[in-house]
Order: sequence, then structure tokens, then C-alpha cells
Amino acid sequence: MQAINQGNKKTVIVLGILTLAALALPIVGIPYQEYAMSVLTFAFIYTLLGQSWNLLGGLAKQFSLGHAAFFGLGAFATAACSSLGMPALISLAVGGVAVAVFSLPIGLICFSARGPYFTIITLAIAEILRIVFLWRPELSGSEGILLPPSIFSTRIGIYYLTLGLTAASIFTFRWMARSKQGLALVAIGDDEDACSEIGIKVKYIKSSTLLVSAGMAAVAGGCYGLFTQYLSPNDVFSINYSLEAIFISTIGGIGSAFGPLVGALLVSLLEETLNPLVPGAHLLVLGAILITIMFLLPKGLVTLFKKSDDKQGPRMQIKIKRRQPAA
Amino acid sequence: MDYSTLAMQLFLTGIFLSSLYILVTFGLTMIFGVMEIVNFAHASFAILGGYACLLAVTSLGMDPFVALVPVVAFMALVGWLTFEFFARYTLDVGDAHVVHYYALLLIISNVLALIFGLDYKFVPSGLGYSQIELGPFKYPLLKFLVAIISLATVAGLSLYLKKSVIGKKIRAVSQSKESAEIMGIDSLKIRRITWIIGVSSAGLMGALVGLVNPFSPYAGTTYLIVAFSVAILGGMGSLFGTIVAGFIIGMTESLFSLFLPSQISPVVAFVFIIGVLMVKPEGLFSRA
Repeated sequence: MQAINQGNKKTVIVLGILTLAALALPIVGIPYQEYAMSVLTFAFIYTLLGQSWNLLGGLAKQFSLGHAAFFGLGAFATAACSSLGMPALISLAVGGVAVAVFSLPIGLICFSARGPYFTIITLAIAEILRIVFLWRPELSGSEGILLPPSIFSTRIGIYYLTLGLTAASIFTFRWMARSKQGLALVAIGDDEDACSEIGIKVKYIKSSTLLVSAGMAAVAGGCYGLFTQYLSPNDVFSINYSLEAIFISTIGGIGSAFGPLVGALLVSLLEETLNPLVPGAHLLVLGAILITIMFLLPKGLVTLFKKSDDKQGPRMQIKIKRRQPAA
Repeated sequence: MDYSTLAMQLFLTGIFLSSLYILVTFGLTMIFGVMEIVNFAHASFAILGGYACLLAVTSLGMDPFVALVPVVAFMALVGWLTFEFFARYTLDVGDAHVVHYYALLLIISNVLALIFGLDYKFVPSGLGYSQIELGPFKYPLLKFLVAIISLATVAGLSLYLKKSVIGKKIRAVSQSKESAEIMGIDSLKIRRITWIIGVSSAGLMGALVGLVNPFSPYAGTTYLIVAFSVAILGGMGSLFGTIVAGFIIGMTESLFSLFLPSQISPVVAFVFIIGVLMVKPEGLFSRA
């Protein structure tokens, strides 16, 4: 126990310093400040998206390929609210809640299937939304829509907003993962039939998690819309966001609270450095990194930072596995 | 236009769509049956085939229909390489394999985007708008040929699986890997062959689609979902189911094109598949 506490203390100190540095970044003048802020802002938006996927995909192993649906819906809902004249923060919140409610029927549809079938339904839902939004001019049409400027269209505004939301998402994840619900989710990921046999309300647990997950993805989409001030269905509903949500969580560490942040920093850094040189190159590099990580570090980059005495740390599992043949 | 002409048009368009859908799903469902892998990169192989055909026609000046032969050979090579350096290592990772295949999808589509750019391209067929006369009806010759080629390929593949020794081994592994291994079948070899057949048939489908519709490096998603729709409706791993389901979805889409604007016609297949999965989560003709 003491070792764990000491490890935690160190982690807390490191995280505190990093948080302070992140908070101070826009105020203290450093070289490449604007660049760093834009990298971090996108990293934070991606963290939200990745974290929302991580809740279902990481804990319960429900590999959704449709988080772009919630991302895009959130972006458009936020845009609709702000063009009605609502303040940006309120439209973000309304968008998040609206999409969370919308996810209930979606959950009903998706969770009737399992495994790869679930993945395919989620993919189909995102594609349907993309096609419908492209088709109906009153929703958006192919021209897309513009958002009115707000305090969050400035670099500093969106930076602090997304920083705060990222911290909130990490706490939400930790809280959910350690709650009874989180345990149930992990159990569902291990064996769904066994869970329902011992009386876990599998569908209820999954749907309520999807509610939180969809809200989180919607807020990520809303932030994206507030910052870029332009949305088009082909962009926000594209499969790339669904894929990035998965990559961010898997590269960073599937089912771990800080995994999406680590993954998102890497993705965002790659995107900002490689995209100006060769458009699209970052996705290629990302794919290569992902395959490497999946084969070498199946639990993601956070494994590198973890202490071996961590409760669910992958290293511990490896140790056990290595001991077995020796014994 | 009188009703019989219209009905014939819809029927032929239905056959045309179905033939392509069956061809692309065939590989997907075979790979699932034998390797227990849901190949999310399947449609990217199709797009890769489209670009290979484009290169063969525009750079080497080949006739597009002759070019299909080297395209299939090239895709077989791609299949062999991806199996040896990638797919064989994903056989025992369980459900997480979907992530590996997303990554493969990302790599293929972005390599294509880097080489060819994001614009929509199509393979010049040289046939233009020439029509074929089928009794009193007229139909675009190009689409007719494409449908014939893909149906012939599907028929050939089915026959191969039914009659040849390798085909029988493939079906054996698909039914039960353990029993097949006990009977002395080299399951890794069978999986390699299945993977190569799957990838090449996807590439052929992509080349054929490229003759008819414009495509871009990211256009695979639509075909991916259609292929999944067919595969699920037919029951993953069931080849007979795939053929029936391909016709059902192709015909339905053709019929709905009467009432719906063309840009939302793929939605039909998606809604169809969601409906089927809600009612029967294992597909209509699932393997027992």
C-alpha cells in the first residue's frame, strides 16, 4: 500500500506541475507560444473525443466506430443554439445534453448487437447522419454552416475552455471507472453473458454509459465548432473522427484515464507538424504508429509511465505471465 | 416510358448493383469465416484495385478490360504481402483485431491520398455511352459488361470452393478449425489462400467500380458499409447467404432509387441492415 501511495504522490506532483504549466502557457511569453496553444487546443478537443470513446470502448470493450455521429451532432447542435443567440457556454451545454438524450434511442438500436456487429451499426449510423445532413439544406447541406464569433473563437478563450473540459473528462472517467458502474462495465467487457446471468443490468449499464459518452463527444464537437466557426457534414461526420477517437485511446492506453490525453497530444503534434508539409501524412504515420503499438505495447503508451505496482497495470500482468513457466 | 421498360431498367440496375455487392462481400465473408477476422480494411483494398486499374489504363495504355488481369495479379501480390507481414500476426489477438484493421485502412487510404491526391477519379473505359440492346430494351453496355464479369467471378469462385480440393479445405477450416487441423489440413496455408482470394476479389470489384463510378482514396467507407450490410444480412461466413443478400440489397436499392434522390440511396442499405440486426442479431442466414 505504501508503495502505491508514494507512487501516487509523485504522480500528483508531476501532474500538478504539468497543469500549472498548461494554465500559465497563454500568459507567460515563450517562443512558439501560439503554435503550442493551437497544438494543445486540438489535443484537448481530441482528448474529449477519445475519452468519450474510452468510456465504452476502453472499459466495456464496445468498439464503436460511430463517435463521429455524436461529435458532429454536438457541433451542429451547438451551432444551432448559438445562431439562435444563446451565449456560447450555454449552447455548448445545451448541445451536449441534447445529444446525450438523442443517444438513448441510438443505444437501444446499437446494443441489440454485439462485437463486430455493434461496430458496424455504429459506423452505419454515423454515415446515415452524414448523408442526411449533406442532403437537407435546412440542416446544413453541402455548403456547411457558419457560427457567430464568441469569446471561444479566440485562441485564449478556447484554450482555457478545452483545458478545463479535458480535466473534467479525466475526472469523470476516473470517477466512473472506479464506481460500481465502472466495475460492471469492465465485467461486461470480459463476459457479457455471465454478467447478465449474475444480475447485472447489461443494457441499462451500457446505455447510461453511452449517455455520458455521447454528451462528452458532443461537447468535443461543440468546442471544435466554436473554435473553427465553420462546420460541414463531410468534415465533422467523417469516419476520420471515429477512427481518431479509437486511435487516441488505443495509442495512449485503452481503458486508462490519462491514455486519451497522451494519445491526443501525440496525434495533435503529428497533425500540426506533418500536415503543413504533406497534407494527410499524419494519418499515415499514425496508422504505422498504431500498428507498432498494438503489437508491442497492447495497453498503450501509458504503460511506459506506469509503475509495476499499479493495480491494473499491464506490467503486473506480464510479470505473472512470465512467472508461470518458471514455476 | 412505359412500365415494362421501367421495370426492366430497375431490374437490370438491380442486377448490376447486386453483382458488385456480392463480389465485394464474398471476400469479406470468406475472410470472416476462415480467419474470424472482420476486415475493416476490405474496402480500401477495393479502392487500391481501382487505382491500380487507373494506372494500368492511363500510364501503360492498356485496354481497361484487359487491365483487369494484371490488376488481379497485383492485388494477389498485395494480399500475399499483407498476409505475411500483417494479417498472420493478428490471428490470435481476439476482438481487439478491429483496431489493427482500422490502422491498415488508415495506412492504405492515406498512401493512396498521398500518391493520387484527394480528387475523385475514374477509369476511362473507352465505351462512353454506348448501349446494348436486349430485345426491346436498352442498357448501358459498360454496366452490362461489369455485371457480367463480376457475376462470372462470383460463379467461378463458388465453383472453386465447391469442387476443388483447396476449396473444400477452405470450407472445412471455416466450419471448424480444430477438426480441420486434426484431419491434417494446414490451416495457416488455407488462411493465407483465403486472404489472398479475398483481397484480390476486393481489388477486382474496385477496378470494376472505377470503370462506372468516380472514386477517391476515402470513398471506401460507403462500399465498406454496403459490404457489411450484405454480409450481415446473409450471415457472416455464409456464401450462399451472401449471394441471396446481395440480390436483396441491390434490388431494394435499385427500387428505392425511384422515390429517393440519388445522393441518399446508400441510406437504404444502412437502414435495412440496422433493422435486420435489431430483429435478428446474427443475420438472416447465419451459420448454425
